[in-house]
Amino acid sequence: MIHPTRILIVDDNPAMAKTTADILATKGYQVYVATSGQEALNILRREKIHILLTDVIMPDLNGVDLFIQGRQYHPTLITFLMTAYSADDLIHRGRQAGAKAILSKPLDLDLLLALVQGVEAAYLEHRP
Amino acid sequence: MTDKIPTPGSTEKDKKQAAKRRLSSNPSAAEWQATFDAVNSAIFITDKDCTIVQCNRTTEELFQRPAAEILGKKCYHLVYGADAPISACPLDVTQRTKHRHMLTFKQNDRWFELSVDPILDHAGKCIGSVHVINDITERKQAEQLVQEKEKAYRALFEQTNDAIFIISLEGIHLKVNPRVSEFLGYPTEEIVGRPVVDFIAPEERQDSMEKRFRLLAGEHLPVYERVFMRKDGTRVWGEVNVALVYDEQGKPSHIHSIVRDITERKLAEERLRQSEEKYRDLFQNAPVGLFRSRISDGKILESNDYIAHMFGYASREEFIAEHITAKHYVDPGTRERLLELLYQNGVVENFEARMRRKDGSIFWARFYDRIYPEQGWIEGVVQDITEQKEAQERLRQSEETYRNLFHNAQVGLFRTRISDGKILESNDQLAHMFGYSGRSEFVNQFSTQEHYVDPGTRERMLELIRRDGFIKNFEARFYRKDGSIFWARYSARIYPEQGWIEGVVEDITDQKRAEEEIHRLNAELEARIEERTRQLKEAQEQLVRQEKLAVLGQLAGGVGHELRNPLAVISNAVYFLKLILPEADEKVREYLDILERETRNAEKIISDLLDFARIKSVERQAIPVAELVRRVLERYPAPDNIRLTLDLPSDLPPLWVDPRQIEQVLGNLVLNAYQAMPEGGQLSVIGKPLSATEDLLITVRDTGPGIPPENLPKLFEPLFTTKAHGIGLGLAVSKKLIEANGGRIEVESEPGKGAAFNVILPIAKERQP
Repeated sequence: MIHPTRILIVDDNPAMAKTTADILATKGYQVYVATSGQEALNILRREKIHILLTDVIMPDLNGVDLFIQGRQYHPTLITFLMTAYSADDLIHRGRQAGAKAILSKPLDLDLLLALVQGVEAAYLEHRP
Repeated sequence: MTDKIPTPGSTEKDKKQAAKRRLSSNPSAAEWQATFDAVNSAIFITDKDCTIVQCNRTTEELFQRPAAEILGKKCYHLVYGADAPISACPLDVTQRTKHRHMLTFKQNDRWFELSVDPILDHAGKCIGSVHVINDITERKQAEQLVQEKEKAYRALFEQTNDAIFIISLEGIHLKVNPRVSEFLGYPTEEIVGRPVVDFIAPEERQDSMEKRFRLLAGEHLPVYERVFMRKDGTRVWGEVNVALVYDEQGKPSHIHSIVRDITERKLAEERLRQSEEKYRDLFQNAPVGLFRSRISDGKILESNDYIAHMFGYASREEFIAEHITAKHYVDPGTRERLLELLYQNGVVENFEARMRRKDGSIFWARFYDRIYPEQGWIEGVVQDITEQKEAQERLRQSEETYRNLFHNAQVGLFRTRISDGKILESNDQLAHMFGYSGRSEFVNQFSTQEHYVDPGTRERMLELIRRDGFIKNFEARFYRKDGSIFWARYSARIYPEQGWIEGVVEDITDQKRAEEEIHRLNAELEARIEERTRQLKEAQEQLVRQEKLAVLGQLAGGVGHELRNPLAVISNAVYFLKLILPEADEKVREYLDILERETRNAEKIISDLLDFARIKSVERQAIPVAELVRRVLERYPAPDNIRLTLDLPSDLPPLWVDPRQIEQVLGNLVLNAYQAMPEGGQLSVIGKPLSATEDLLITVRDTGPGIPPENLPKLFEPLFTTKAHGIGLGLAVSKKLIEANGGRIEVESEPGKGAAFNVILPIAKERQP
């Protein structure tokens, strides 16, 4: 089944980005992959992205700032933050900024798929 | 010499001779008879047969009878009244010798001198005799008087105690009496014929000669003294009375010198002089003050220098001139008291008074005074006893000090007899020490010998003290009066001659007790220190472990997070593979499961590490135990060989905890239990309310081998583990989490019978939603 939801997966670890993208793609979602914040911003500027699944700690632009800047392009952008760290301040800021979920690495993929599915359902419901 | 001495009889004799010559000048018969009768002597003539044939008138008067009665009588009959011639009849002698013979005889208190002359015939034959009798009584008496006088003078000369010298005008000894010999020590013959000056002390010889010349010149010399030299060289003194003697012509004849031996007197005088000098010296030089003072005011009448100096005067002259003793008594009334005593007893001995010197300074004087009321003075001896007084005072003070010291000393002081330890002297303190009320019931009654607790102690002490002369800090136990025991420490010195020991004693019972207490405390302290050291060591070890842990925490923080990324990739990859290979063969699926499980284990280790390094904030909520246990078992399903028993009644109150944290705790306990029973067993999870504290007890029990007792205390320490793999953080993290949630965890285990972890957690009460 093909899902209309477009998901941008951002992780400075390409393997992490790729495997996550592959799982979501396998499940029928349209996925975009970026391995840096700037790359992700470029994609966000170009493409219509529904869900931003991003690592928090990245060399150039952290996930929270990426989310805040990306919202300029997509005000309804849904963001899930992924983290291997307990970088509480950043996580806390992300939560304040409106991140929908904080996912710790390794990812609970069942949970991720459930979340994505839930977002899509809500999105489709509210779609004009 | 004696013929030069005039005798009273010489003149009469001469007269008689003259008369005799006159008679023989004219021989007529009548004249003869007249002459015959006129003669004052009784004359009668006898024939050859002693018959009186003729007599004169004086004969008649002498015999007081007429011539008729006289004539024809025998002469011896007439003269002596005898019937025959007397033995001493001079007539007999005269008839034989044909010379006159005389006889003096006494008749009727009168003395007569009879001379008998023979009448010779032509042939020279004695034919008769002429008797002439003179009454010589008066002459005899005069002669006798002279004799007696002479005898008396001689006796005087011989026996007088004075030495009598008869000296020639030239100064030569003519005669001396026996006393002279004694006086000068020479035999008489060595004196007579020698000059006077030979026997006179050399220094007086000149004077002797001068005196003789003056005497010869007619001067009357008064009695004078002369020093004579004896034969033995010693000197003798004489009192000389000298006189010039004149002969009948009035010319100087010789010198009489009567010398009285005054040597004894002179020597006595000399001795007296020396004695006086000596006493004067003594008086002046005596090292005591000597004085005579006026009774009325003590004005000094006589003194020596010593007392003058004593009173601060330069000399006795100054002292006598100025000093009035009465003004120099320091204490009023002293002199009055002294005088009273003097009037009472005549003398006062050892009277002590404070006196003022000339310069006003004060000294202590001691008087020995005698009063002479008639003379109005006092004589006495004074000593300056200031030093003595001061010494006495110092001694008194010293004695008092030592007595006070002795009696007030806070230690016992004693003198004991060596033989038996009898107390000869002690202070109260010692008596108290031995349980007596005071020294009076202690001294001379108490013997230490009987009060040593430990046999042989006194002997040991005596051995030491005899060897060294003293002992120091000797410790011994003694019985008190009431039989109780005390510890004494004493130091003492032995006085073998006196037979005693003197020393000082301290009751060190408290000290001993304190020492024992200190020993006990020390031991206790040592034990405590040992315990504390052990604890510290443990704490240190724990600290070391915690340090290790801190480092590990940091390391784990970094490493753990970094590991999570690859783990996440692996986890994703496994998930992807399982996703795209739903029909994969069993072996692949099994391996994918292994990968998945081990990835989760790795993640668990990392989580524990990270959790331990930093406890997250506790987010409490009310949650039933059963729900937590369900989640845990869902996450960590029990292996097949382990039986699960849950006893979690539905009416258990919910917990008031952070669910994630307590889930983690329970997960740890469950996983540990699984790992403790690799061969299988039973896991029980039991919930039970604790009524007393309103907490909930959750017990997780396994039937594994149990925990060795030595491991129990370390069980909850980080990095302690008995597992081959595992870093020993599970229980440590669990404990931290439980405590962070207001609970506690305990373990009970018996080797071989499994282990039970009891988790006590607070329940949600009114907070319950």
